[in-house]
This record gives sequence, C-alpha cells and structure tokens, in this order.
Amino acid sequence: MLLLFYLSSSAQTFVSDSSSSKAGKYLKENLAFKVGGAVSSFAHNGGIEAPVPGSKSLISWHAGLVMDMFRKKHYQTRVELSYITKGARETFGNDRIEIESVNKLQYIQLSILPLILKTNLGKVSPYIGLGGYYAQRVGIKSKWKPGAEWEDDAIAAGNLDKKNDVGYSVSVGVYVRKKSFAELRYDGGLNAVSSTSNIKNRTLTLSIAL
Amino acid sequence: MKANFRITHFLFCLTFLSVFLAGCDKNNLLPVDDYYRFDKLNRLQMSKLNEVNYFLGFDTQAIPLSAVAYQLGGTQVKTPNQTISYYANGEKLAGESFLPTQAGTFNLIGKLADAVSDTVKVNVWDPATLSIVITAVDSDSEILSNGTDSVEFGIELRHGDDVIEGDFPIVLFVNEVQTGSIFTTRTPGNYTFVAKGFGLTSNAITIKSVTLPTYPLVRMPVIFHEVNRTTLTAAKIKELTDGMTKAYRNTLNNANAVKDANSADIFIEFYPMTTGPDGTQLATPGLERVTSTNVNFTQEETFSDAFNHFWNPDQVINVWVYPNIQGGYANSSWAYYPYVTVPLVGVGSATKGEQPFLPFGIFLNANHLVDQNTDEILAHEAGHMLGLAHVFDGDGSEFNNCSTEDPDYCSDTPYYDRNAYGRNMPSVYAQRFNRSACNGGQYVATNFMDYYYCYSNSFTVQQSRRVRHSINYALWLPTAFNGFQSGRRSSTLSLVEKPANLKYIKPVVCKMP
Ligand SMILES: [Zn+2]
Repeated sequence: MLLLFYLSSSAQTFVSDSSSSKAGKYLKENLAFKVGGAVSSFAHNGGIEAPVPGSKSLISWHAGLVMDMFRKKHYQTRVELSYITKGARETFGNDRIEIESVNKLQYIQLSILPLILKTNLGKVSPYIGLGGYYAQRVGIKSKWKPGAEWEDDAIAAGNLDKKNDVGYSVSVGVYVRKKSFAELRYDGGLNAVSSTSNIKNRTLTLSIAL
Repeated sequence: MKANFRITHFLFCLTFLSVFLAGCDKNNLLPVDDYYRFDKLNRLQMSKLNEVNYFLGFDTQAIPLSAVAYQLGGTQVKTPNQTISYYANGEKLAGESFLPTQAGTFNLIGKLADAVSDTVKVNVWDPATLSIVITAVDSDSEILSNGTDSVEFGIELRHGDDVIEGDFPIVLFVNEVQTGSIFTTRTPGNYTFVAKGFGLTSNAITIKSVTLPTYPLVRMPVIFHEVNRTTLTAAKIKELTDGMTKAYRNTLNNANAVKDANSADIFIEFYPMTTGPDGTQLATPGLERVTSTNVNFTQEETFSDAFNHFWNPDQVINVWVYPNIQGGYANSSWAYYPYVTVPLVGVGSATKGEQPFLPFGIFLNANHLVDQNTDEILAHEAGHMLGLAHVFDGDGSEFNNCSTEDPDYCSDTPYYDRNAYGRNMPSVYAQRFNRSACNGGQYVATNFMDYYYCYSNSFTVQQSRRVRHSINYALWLPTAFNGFQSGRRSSTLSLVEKPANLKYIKPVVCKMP
C-alpha cells in the first residue's frame, strides 16, 4: 500500500507513444520475455492477505511472454501468457504436533492488465495496473511431513481438485525504454482451489521483462 | 541522473516492502482440523482397548488411545495420532491417553476435522466399592478323595449385584495356599476356599473331601414273569442278573468307555430266584412262564394284569416281561419309584406294613430282550425302583427344558435339556454321547439313569446314597428292612392279592431307541 501511494502520488504527466506500422517491427517493439520469482500462499477465509516472502511461504519462479497493446501516452494494455507455480507452504497443528505441508500448483496463466503510465520522467515510466487472469492447472505436487521425513501427499493433492483459477491482479512497475520493465504484482484468486475447502491462491511476483 | 535516481528510489521501495512484509513472517500455525488433507474424512475408528475395566490404586498408568481415520470409500487416511483430539465424557484430554483418576464410566472419543469417532467405554472402579464372590459349580460341598472327582469354582467381581465381566488378577486360595479354579484331591478333609484380589477377600466356601462310601453287601433275588413267550432261558436270566450285579458293583461297562469320576460301588447284587411260592425248586431259576388271555397289552392293562403274577416283593424283585405292548409305550420299559418310611426327596412316603397298591417292580418290554443291552435296561429300571430319577428332566412321555432344580436331586450327575439334545442330534455317531449341561459345561453321558446315546457304565456317589436310603427305608423290596434275609430260603413266599379298589398309577416310563 505504501508503494501504491507513492506511485499514484508521483504520477504527473504522460508522453504519447507511436507504434510501428509493420508487424515485425511491432512485435520487436512490443513483445517481451518475462521471468521472475513468486511467493505464494493460500488464503483460508477468502481474505486478501498477501503471501509473505520467507521460510514459511512457497517460493518459486515463473516465466512467460508479454505483449503490450493499444499503447497510448498514459494507457496501454498488457497481455501475458506465462508458466507459474502457485500453492503454499503451511504448518498445521495443535499444542501437540506441527505438520508441514507443501503444495505446488503449476499453471499456464493468461493475464490481461490495463496499465496507467507516468511518462514524463525520461527513460523510465512507472506504472500501475489492475486486471485479471485465467489460469489452467497443468500439474500438482503435494508433500507433507507427518514425522521426521517428508512424504508425498496424494490425499491433499486429491482434495485440491479445482483445475482452473480465475482472479484479479494488481501490479506496480516501471518501464525502462518502453519495453523492458520491472514489476511487483499481486494475484488474488477468486475461486477456491478445492471443492471441499475454501482456500484460494495468493501470489506475489517480482519480475523483469526484456 | 534524475531517471536513475527514480529507479533507485523505486527499487528501494520494493526492498522496503519486502522487508516490511518479511517482518510478518511469523510462524503462522493453522488449526490441524482445517487441514484440507482431512477434508473427506468421514469415519474415525477408535482402537479397541485391552481392558474395559480399570481400578483406582492399581491401574496407575495412563491408557494409550489411538484411532484410525478413513475417508469416503473406506480408504484409510494416514495421520499422526497427535492430530486427533481425544475426549472423555466430553472433556478434552491433554494428549493421546486417559489416566484413570476417579471412579465412573467414561465415554472416550476422538475428533479430527469433521470426523467424530465411535465411543470406547471404560469403567474406572474404586475397589472399596467392589466385592469378590466365589461359587462352587455343581457341587454339594462334597467331593471324593479319588484325585478325579472335582469341584469347580466360579469367581465373580461385583459392584453391588452387578457382575463386572473380564479377567482380573484375582487368585483363589485353598487353606491359604494358591490354587486353580478346578480342585481335586486324594486327601480327605475340609478345604476352605477364598479368592483375593484388589485388596479384597471373597466369601469362604468349605468343601469336604471324602473317601468312597462303603456299605454292607445286599443280595436280592429276581423273578422274571415271562408272559405268553418262551424265549428266556436259565443262561439268559443268569446273564441278566449278573449284568445288574455288575452295574451296582461298578463293573458293568459294555462299551469299555471312560467312567464318571464319581462312579461308585453301591454294594448290591442280584441273582435268579430259586424257589417258587409253593416252596419247590424252580425248573429254571428266576423264571416263571405265565399266560394271559390277552395277546396285546396296553400299559394300563399290564398294571392290572401284573397282579395275576405278583410274588411277594418283600421276598423277590418282580420283573414282568410283556410282549406286544401297544400305543405310546410300544418301545418302552418302565418301573415304579419306591415308597419310603423316612422321607427321600422325589419319592413317595408310606407306612411300614402297607400292602402294595401298585405292581411294584420292573416292566420289561419283550422287545428289549433283543438287540439291546438288556442288562443296562434292567439296571436302569432297578434304579427307578431304588429311588433314582432320570438325570434329565422328564421321562419317556415328556421331556422338559433345563429346570432350575436338579431333576434327579444328585448334584454329581450333570443334567441337560433332553429336548434340545433330541433336536440337535449329531450325525456323527460318537458325538451323540456328548451332552451340553444346563450349567453350561460339556460332558460325556455315562450314567445308567440317562437315555440313549449313553455309555451306561456309572452310578455316582450321590445316587448310591439315594439307593442305600431305599435299601434302608423302602417298602416292598427284599431287604432286611422288610424282613428278608439274603440266602435264607423263605417259608412265607406268597402272592400279592390284587386290591379290590385298584387305581391306576402312572409309572416312570423309559423309552428305548
Ligand atoms: Zn427310566
């Protein structure tokens, strides 16, 4: 929130951008490769709490292609197709036992983010974005640690049975020379990943695109 | 420069945010009941405990609890025991065990996620509120000092009148020495039994161990009145009276089977009558051939007909051999119980000097001379004459289920439900000799006073006492009580006259296969 406040308060003027008429040149100017880290968790009560980087969160990577479209001076729309691992590293327990559980949910995710840019700062253009995503799950790996050893957990994997994830994204970032950017994004799932538990994906990603 | 400052500024903010959020990276423990691994649990099965009953001051260890989780479809779901919360009477237990610290009944359950287990019930007893009661099973407080006759003790732990089921560390003592629940001895004397456990001492039972009783030998002559037939011979009659003698001297064992542990010599012998009412020697010892105008006989007809050939029962035992018995008695022999001047439970009383008002003796079905162990039948019928009842409740015309009272008044002869025995007759021949006693035990039938299938080879000690009571106090037997002297030829052998007002009396009927 602090960062969002900073960005919005620093948005002042915008410069227009012109697109090439040729498709190749268009792609060259607007298509980028994006890679980064992700921190994921499950929200258990539908809240918007963000995953916290650290030993108790699931840390993974993501990568994909980014296309910037409909570029205007202060607005544009970003479309992304990426591979991303979500899920959670959690500890369940009571006063007698603590059980660690790790569930990695692998998705192919399509995101669409309208962006608002601040373009009067020379080579860098900070932006904020608000959009949505649709993710199709392509894999799951579950394990738990009921004792001293980690074990595969087919039962938990079976209970996380929803194969798609739809959610919203909130993003802040900065373009460098129009195409490359660095970005911090929050993805919040709107539907549960299990038909038996109300648990939803929450992912914080830090990416760079070139 | 300005742009670079902005990038640096931005990255600084990102780092700040991360560090800020990382500050929230506390150990966020989620309730185990919310673990989605357990979403589909539908059953929690408590593991059975070794014991149901626990005793304050004796069971000082916590009782470990465990349960197995299953999900829909019956698949077992692995889970550490510590994930399950256990409750006793609704109160949450600290761990996976239950420590009995107060008396009462406790319903133990486990819970995990939405699954609640079945209930395991335990009783915790304060021994101060309990008692130990011992009972002697099937005994009249007396056993033979023969090393085989036994008395078995039942030991019960009770709370009030309620019996607490289970195996408990309760030990039986005989004369202060530890012993097992089945007791035998070769040493006569008094034995006092108590059971001890949980700091409690039971009631005491004293059992007397006695040597086999001995009696003066009694010899009784027998006359067979063979009606309308000529099959009996001197040899056959000798064979039959010898067989009866063996039975009453504890040596008849046609099947060579194991005898009852209580089998006893009754010291009675039988022999063929040598002289007739007119004082002359009988042509065939023990035999009188008689004819009747009847060809066929009902049981009621024999009652009256027998009086035509009824020798003085104070001098001889009368055995009427009737052919062609009709009706429900066609396969039966029968006899009458004695009448005694000193009461004997189960038989009638009479005054000394009373004349016979029934044909007191044995009615032998002529069919039973063929393809039967006739000596066993005669020993059985003589047993009735001498005061013995069937070991089960009933006779040839009626069988009853297990009665509360011992049907033959002899606690050393177990009894059984003859109806149930008949309904469940085993197809394996050897198993037909097994009996399920009314007191729950199993035994092999050996008693002369049982029915087929039976290794008729034993009278017991208590039966011997009833028989000897009859020898001492029954009317109409060739005994010293009635003036008979064994071996001395009587000069007063007479016939019994049929009473003018003869009234039919039903005998004890003994049906053979
Ligand atoms: Zn009988």
